[in-house]
Amino acid sequence: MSAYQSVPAAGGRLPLGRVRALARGQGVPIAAGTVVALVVLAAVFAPLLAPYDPNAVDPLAVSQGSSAAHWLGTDDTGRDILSRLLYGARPSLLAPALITLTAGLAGTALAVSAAWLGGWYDRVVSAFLDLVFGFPGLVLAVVGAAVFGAGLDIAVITLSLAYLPYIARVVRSAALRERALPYVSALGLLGLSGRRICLRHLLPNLLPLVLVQATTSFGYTMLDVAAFSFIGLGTQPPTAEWGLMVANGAPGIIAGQPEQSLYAGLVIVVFVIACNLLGSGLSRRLLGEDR
Amino acid sequence: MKAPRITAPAAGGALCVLLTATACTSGTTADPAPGPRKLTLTTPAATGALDDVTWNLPMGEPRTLDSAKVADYSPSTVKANLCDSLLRLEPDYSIAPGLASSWSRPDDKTLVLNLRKGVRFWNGHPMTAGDVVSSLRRQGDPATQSVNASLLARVKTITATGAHQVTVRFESPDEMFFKGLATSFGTVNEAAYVKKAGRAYGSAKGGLMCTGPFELASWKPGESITATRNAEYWDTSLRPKIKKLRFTFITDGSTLTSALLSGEVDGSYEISSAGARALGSADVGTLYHGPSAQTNFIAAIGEDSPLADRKISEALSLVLDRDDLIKNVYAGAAQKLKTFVPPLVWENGEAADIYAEGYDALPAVPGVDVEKAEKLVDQARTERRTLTVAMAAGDQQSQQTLTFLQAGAKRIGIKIVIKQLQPTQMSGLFFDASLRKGLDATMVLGYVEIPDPISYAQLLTDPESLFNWTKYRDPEVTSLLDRARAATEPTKSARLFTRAQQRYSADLPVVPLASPHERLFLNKRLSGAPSSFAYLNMPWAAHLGGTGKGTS
Repeated sequence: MSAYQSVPAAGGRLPLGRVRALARGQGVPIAAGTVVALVVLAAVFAPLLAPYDPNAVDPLAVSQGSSAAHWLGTDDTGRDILSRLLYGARPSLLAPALITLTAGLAGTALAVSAAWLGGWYDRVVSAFLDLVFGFPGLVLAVVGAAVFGAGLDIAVITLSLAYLPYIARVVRSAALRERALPYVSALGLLGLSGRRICLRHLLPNLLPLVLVQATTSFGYTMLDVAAFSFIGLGTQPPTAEWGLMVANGAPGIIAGQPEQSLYAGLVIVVFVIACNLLGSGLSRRLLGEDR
Repeated sequence: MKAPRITAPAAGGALCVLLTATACTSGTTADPAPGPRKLTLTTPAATGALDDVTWNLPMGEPRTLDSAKVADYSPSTVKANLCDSLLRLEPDYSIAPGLASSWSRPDDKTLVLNLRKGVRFWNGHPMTAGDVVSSLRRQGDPATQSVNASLLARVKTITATGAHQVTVRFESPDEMFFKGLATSFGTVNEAAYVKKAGRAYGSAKGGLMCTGPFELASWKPGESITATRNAEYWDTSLRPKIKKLRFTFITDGSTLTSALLSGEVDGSYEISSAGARALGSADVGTLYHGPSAQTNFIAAIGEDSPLADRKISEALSLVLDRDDLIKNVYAGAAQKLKTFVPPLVWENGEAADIYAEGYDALPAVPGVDVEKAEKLVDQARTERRTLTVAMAAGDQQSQQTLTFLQAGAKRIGIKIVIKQLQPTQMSGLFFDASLRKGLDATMVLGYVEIPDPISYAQLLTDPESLFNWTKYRDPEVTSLLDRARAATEPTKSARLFTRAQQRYSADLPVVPLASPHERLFLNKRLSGAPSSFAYLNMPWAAHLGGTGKGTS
């Protein structure tokens, strides 16, 4: 049995008492998870929750403060900030989700195969990961945008590549430790193929680690995507996106109209912190360590 | 950012690009209905001297100060105080003598410039007719890559015909050459210094040698440019009252506003709308509004652009409420325009009444008429109903304008796709056709430097112009503008121009938006600077001085 098998599988059934015990002392991760879940729900149900069309301009209601009609005020073209925040959650979450998923899947596949095969293949993969790790994600994304043009799709592709090492390097180390455990040799002696051992035994034991890494990375990718849009290379107007909203509202800050930037920035900060706290909580619960 | 913010100066036919958290929510509304602005040509005269002044260049650090290559806000703002031109632009855009004290025209094809005597360069060497000839001629040399080269297109010879006299002979008459002498085109540099500096002339390394009221003292790339007073300046009425003038390169509007509010920076031209909202009520200084030769419009790119179809451009014009635009985008500091040349360019010059008559005869700026716009779209030749419009990333004014246009266009079945370009891409777009691929139109913030509307009109209508992207061609317009350019009689030139304007205004696929006013902020310890857009081609800092208020 591996070290990771001591924790019940995420999908396993837990009696109510066990859930309570699990929750005990886990107030912060639960609160963080709740925040993440609420934001995801807001994104999914934005059309039902948003009071206005997020792109409906109103020249007669430009840069207004909070009111009964516009709870969070309006932006510099009279659009409702609350509606734009709700709709903006969609690209703001979708792009980081795609990046994390791509980097998670590709990174895990590379890491496990490198750890299993070893030799020159492992050296090549490790060198590649080190090379990519040397480039800050945002720089890579900006270079991508310079070559292929602006857009969120470029951000997803380049940041997926940039975040590959963040997951692959950690998983590879864990996979090497796992591969050295006696049960793996035993499975080999039983005649199981390498692919079967990797997919059916190694991988499930590494999943908690991948989940923790992905959760933490999700927050950082969101920051990068927001920054990418902030500098005008990601989501293009008039689509609502949090990074773009921060950029759009920035000139208004000094003029005493900080609402757009303030609320969009606040949502990003809260969500990123929630992802980090959730990642730490999962790490403690699933891996028994602080991250 | 400004815009993207695109600027299109017309000196020598060059159109260049530019590019323009509080702890709690305000709960306030923006300046809701700014009334008509009081425009002033200049600020109250300065009364005292100052040791040093910090001035900001909101469009960033100049690439060069070489007058042959200067065609943008930042280099012009600095250069205007360092280097004199043969003619001088006044705040009302009229022309006055500069290094040429007088001139005559023996015939239509000859211009004689009589040079001012006793003028010396900063190094003490006297300005000669040879320096003038060399300064003008080098702009026609392809190796110089001057933005003003087109102004020499009709010149036959430029010769020194006396110790203080230069004679210019033309292949065909050209009034634009003469008026261009009031811009950077007419700048006189010391020939020997230019030759010695070679390609580095005008750079931080190569320096400058001119006759202006301020001398280039240092240029620390990425940090600042410092100019010091030329105590021997030939124009004794404009000997600077400031000992040291330091230029900074803050491009972020919020940072600049904070620096102006804190007194870290004393003044700046080209204050943004957001900055104006904060600075308008500040007690640390005064925000001035002046007349401007800047013009904001949407220009079609390519013959196959939907906007190249007159019906579509007119339809878009009909869904844009310019009053709302001026109120919300320009914070009230702009005027509606019937065409793309602002009245300041001609309203104080000769034959102003003819230009005014021509302008008045143009169709009125349209109000919103969605029904008519829909009909126009139905009648359009083009089937395309999607337009990709470029703007500079971070240019709030352009983004606001395009967002309003997007909403209006949607009502008549046209989809506007906004494409944000980085500043280098945006400026490159004007000169590199490959960067215009995939674009149907762009936001343009241009300005007219030469006090004559012909040069700017030719930029957009001449079939040979680099900036006539839709290949607009009307032989009658081309002929009228050519003849207007050749006419030495102002009234004749004005009549020919207004006839051309009447024709191209009816056909040209350009959507005029507004002419933003010039916005100048001065710390309360300063005064005297012109608040008109003419500052770009006059020694504005020589007028600047102390008020006796604040810290000296």
